[in-house]
Amino acid sequence: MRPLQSFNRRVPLGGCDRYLLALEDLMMRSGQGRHVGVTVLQVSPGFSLSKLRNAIARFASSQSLVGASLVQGVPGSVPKWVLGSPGQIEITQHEQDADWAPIARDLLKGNWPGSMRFDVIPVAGGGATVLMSWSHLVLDARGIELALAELAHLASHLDASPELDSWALPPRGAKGLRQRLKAVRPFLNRYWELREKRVLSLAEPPRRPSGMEFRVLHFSSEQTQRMKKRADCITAGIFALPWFLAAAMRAHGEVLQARGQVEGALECTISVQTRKRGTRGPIFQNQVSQLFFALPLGALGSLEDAARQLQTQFAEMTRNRCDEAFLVMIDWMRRMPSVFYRRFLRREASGQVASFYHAHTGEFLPGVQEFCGGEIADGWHVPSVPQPPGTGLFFSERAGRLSMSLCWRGGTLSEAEQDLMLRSIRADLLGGDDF
Amino acid sequence: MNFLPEDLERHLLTLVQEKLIEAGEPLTPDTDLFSIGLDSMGIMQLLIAIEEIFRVRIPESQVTRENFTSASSLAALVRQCAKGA
Repeated sequence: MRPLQSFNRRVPLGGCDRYLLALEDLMMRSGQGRHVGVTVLQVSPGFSLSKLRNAIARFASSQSLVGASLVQGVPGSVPKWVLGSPGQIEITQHEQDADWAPIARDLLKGNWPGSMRFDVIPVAGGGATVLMSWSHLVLDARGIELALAELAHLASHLDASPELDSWALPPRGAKGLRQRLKAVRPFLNRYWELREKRVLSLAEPPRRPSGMEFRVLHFSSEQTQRMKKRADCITAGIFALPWFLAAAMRAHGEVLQARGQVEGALECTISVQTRKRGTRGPIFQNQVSQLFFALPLGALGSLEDAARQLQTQFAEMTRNRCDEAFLVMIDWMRRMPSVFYRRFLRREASGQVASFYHAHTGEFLPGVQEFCGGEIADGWHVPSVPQPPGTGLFFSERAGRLSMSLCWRGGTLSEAEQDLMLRSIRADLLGGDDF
Repeated sequence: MNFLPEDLERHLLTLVQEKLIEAGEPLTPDTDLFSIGLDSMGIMQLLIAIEEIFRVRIPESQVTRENFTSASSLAALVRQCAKGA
């Protein structure tokens, strides 16, 4: 990370910035609104709204990307970050004990200015439910937690100086056509492999604008322990990625098969962090690469089999440096005209490359116990998903308890299909009939 | 036959610190790697790096939480796998 020390320096365009701007542009054109998400924190008594206000004011005044926008100028030109004055972050206090879900559903429409906002719902007895809304153009899942960790730090240390401008310069990749072609080869090989499959998703492009819907499941400590013990038998309990991805694929497979689909494949693109583990930054911009996993419907027979196959793909892609190749690719592509992105994304977003969105973001806010005076009791993410593919399954864990958010665009899943998907996930993760 | 460095623990720690984890405090051979953020991607990168640098392939059955808990336990595993190679 190479943080800048003052405002109004030029923020370079990253490969992920360009990709996400094109994706958001497609979403806006089809009435899906901005690509945003909501992160929910349940904070125990002791929480202080004034501490949060103070921390947010200091945070916003030190981070120029809070008030920045990514602007596409003349059609065909390369977009650029336009930095305003130090940003403002809106905070709204709601009625005591108000239900967080309808508020989050409204926030997921993205009809609020800027890149972040906070909604606080006081809870009888002194605690609070805090909703942090974020724009995916500016923050990824890890960045959101780093921002929350920074706010928690500022709230606990009134004399602490905030980190300045926490964003990163793009990596110095391969130079020259020949070197670049060589570097992107593993990604292209994988991409063309996937293009040969008939990739399915649960939704076609929307005919009319549809809002985001979600259901969140919380598992107890005992249930989460059972899941981990069950995962021990196949991925040695330490490879969460293929295990949870297999469960998410099987849940989607169940719905497709219930719809009469017998042929085709499921593909899921998994974001992998490019930040080193344990760092406090960079907070802003999407600092990820991607790995592309796929299984035919016929290979989803059991969770164990599916997880084993995904584990093999995981090892192959890591060995082939597919993640590094993807980074070179998007870095190379960032100067290409929008029309190129639209063609690529339409293909990806038409159910030909992506079947659904999925992430297991691991421990939620690791190492942070207190937020603005109250102990963090629980936390989870509810991201919006573009349609197609129109669905997403997201996991995180706090204090040994797993949370899962099933997110979908209105009209993508019937109530019976939501139930089917959730039953499949619970049965797979918990095992047996006792769920 | 594989020739492993005598201070394999130190080599593994350097690998972890350079490529994977930025720890707030200095790591020791007994530092719990999971507690400082080792995850699925990190384990996979570590496995591949061990194959490439030390020419030792770790069988799937040996990829357990216990074996990957620290640089010490990992070094013991790498030595054991190298002997069996």
